[in-house]
Amino acid sequence: MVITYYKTMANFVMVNSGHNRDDEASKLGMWLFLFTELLLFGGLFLVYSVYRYLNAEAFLEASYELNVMMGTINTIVLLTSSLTVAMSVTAVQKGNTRLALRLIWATIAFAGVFLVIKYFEWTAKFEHGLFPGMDHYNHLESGEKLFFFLYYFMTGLHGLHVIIGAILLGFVIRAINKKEINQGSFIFLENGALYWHLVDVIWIFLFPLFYLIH
Amino acid sequence: MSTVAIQPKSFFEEKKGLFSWIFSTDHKRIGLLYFYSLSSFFLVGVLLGLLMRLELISPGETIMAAKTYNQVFTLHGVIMIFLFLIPSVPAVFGNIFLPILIGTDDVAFPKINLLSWWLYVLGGIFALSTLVVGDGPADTGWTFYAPYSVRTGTNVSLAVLAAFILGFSSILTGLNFIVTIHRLRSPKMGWFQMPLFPWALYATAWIQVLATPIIGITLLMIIAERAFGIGLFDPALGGDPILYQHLFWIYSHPAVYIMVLPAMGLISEIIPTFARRTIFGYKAIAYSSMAIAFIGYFVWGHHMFTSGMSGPARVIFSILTFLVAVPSAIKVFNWVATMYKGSILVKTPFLFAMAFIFQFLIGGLTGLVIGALAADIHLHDTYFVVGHFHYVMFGGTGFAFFGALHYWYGKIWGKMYNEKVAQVAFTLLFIGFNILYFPMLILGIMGMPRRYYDYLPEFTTLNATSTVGSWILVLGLIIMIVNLIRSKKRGDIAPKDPWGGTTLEWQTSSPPSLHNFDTEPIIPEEGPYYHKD
Amino acid sequence: MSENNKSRYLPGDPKEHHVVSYKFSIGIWFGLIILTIMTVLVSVMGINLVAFSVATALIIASTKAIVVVNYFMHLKYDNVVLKILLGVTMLLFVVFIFLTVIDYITR
Repeated sequence: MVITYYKTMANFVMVNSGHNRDDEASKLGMWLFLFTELLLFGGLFLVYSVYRYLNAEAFLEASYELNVMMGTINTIVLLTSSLTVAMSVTAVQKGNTRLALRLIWATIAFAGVFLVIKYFEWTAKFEHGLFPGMDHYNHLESGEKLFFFLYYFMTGLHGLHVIIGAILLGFVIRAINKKEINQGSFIFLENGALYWHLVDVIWIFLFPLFYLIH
Repeated sequence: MSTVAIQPKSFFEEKKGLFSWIFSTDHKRIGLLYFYSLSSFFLVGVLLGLLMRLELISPGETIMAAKTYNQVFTLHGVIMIFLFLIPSVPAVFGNIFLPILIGTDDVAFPKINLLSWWLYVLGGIFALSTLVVGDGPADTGWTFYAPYSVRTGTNVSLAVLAAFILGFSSILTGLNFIVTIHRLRSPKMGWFQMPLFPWALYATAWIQVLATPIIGITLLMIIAERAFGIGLFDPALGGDPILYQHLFWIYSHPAVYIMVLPAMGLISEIIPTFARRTIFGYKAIAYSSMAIAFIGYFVWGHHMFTSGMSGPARVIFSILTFLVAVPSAIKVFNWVATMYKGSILVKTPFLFAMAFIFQFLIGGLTGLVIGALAADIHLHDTYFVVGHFHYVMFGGTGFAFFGALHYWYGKIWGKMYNEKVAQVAFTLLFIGFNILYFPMLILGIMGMPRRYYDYLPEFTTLNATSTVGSWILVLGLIIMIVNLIRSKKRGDIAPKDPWGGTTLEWQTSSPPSLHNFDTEPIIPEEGPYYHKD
Repeated sequence: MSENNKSRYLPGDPKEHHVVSYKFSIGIWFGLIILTIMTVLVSVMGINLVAFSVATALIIASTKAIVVVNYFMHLKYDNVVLKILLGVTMLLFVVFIFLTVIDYITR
């Protein structure tokens, strides 16, 4: 059996090709990914809900160890970082690339501030022996242990996402410098900003649930 | 016999060589990459199943000790569920045919599609590595229940990490398909001109995207517990093991719909073609796919009826479980109604579709039996459950997969399989399958527990029968596989449309060219399954 | 390969890219800061009903989240499909928590 192949010249243009530019598709894809992130953290919020219900007093007791001032500052820092990245989108839309770059750098700087404050919060607790395996922690009642474990896990996972978001914004900066993001095409910036806002939204819920129990 | 055929350059004939395949962003090549890797894992899973049945051919220790048996059934479950069933239909047939069925030339994010496959292979390697590292594969069951999964020394963390990576692969596939269906349909193809397989893939993709993250985070919690020794799920340390079960099943129940919905979509494609009639109740089937996906999120508690949930919770979950059976039943009615007064072409794909309906019916009805609270007290964790889920998963999804393999064999590889040999293979598969699994339903009612390497002497006859069934099944499997491999070289050249199908893939050449369509696809106004007489 | 690099447009897509002014964004930010301060004050001033404090905290947090999603994330100006999908996702999550907690509450 002999099969001969020839290359066809397709006699039509496929308007719905998967290789064409489609910003709405990219945006939809990013939103779907955000949904998965919401549900990832959602699982942890579910565990939190159950254990807070079962250990209400222990959670309250344990929450006094957290520094409300630092938590509030961090909340304001993240909200401001959301502002700067949102404004960077406006800047690109208006063709003001330099302002956009400054605003994204500001966002990354705020991310850094957030992480530094977090670092101080955590190390302060380590000094008090309040990490799984350490002395003070081991002597807590189980409800308080659960609180702290969830605190480290959830803020830790959130912190990881802050780092990922900052790196993503770094790639956005590179794309702006290479003129791949410009006034006529900036979906990559929008999507990067969307991811950043998600990081902010998660913290909006983490903050009251851990710091403001009383 | 020397024939000369001239046809458009197929996607196989574009760039050649291993690297052009494993770095390809062509959805058809990615689908085949999935097919080859998936089949390999499937065969490992089959081997493990055979070993289990060999152990159970007689009471007492036959070929392996208790702990080894636990490891074998755990790995069998992990491979069959995470490496075979969950990806199977979407990653193989969805990838190859979704863009073609909606009249486009690729998925929305071809590079992410490739990433999905790499993650799949990585997850598979991690899963199989548990065989050779440390204390051997996990011995917890594929369900990894706490607190045992936290305390056992076997490779739980590695297995769980594998499942996490595989979950990511699944999420990306679902994400890709949702955007593809929303944005890349042919301009003349509205939602309700779309064939039913894409509808099934759409419903499934939503489950992949929204349910999988929950298992992701749960598995991370297991790893954290093993690493840090906190009492998240350990009652001795103040945790609640039932909370683990809630989290696990919030994903794993919708996961079974990930496994079965696309298979149902395949049946909705095969039956109209071989009955030569348009599908009965197109909209009802489309809506029922969405309904099953939606209601299926809320029934997970039926896996936990005997674990210690509250009475009211059990009642609520039982009611919802009965509710989810309704859209499934609607599909079965519609498939049967499609065949009424049809002009049936009895070929292998149709035979697999018939077997699907028979076996899915048994599986579904036995599911209702255990969905009833009182019955489940007696039947939970018995062989009745094992029989039930093999009927739906293997007798359902597995057979639909084999049916689609034959249905689209010519389209994918350009040659037709040998029909007679295929029918022999099918017969052995069907007989072997039912001899293997039907006795389990009886054994369960008699009280034989699952996940035990030993049993009471009165269960011996049925167990031995079941094991013999497994051998007949595997014989059928071997014949089918050899037939499919040999036909690639020796089969007749496949025409564009060997079955008289009406959906868009039959307008492409066999195999399709790189961009799928050489001429503009014609979308029939009357609907995707309109047959002229 | 499309010749002009315009993005694909389908019915339902927003017609023009809505531009949020700098002033408006700053206004939104200001509102979020106010809400943050409110939620801290409510807790610090110690209203003693536990259930009340959880509900208030969640309501304020949800309001902030909705504001961020609608204005910073532009969802208000986007395709209505996205809004529906987000709504369904959130509904799903709420039902997950609801059904799980029912087990614990009725034990």
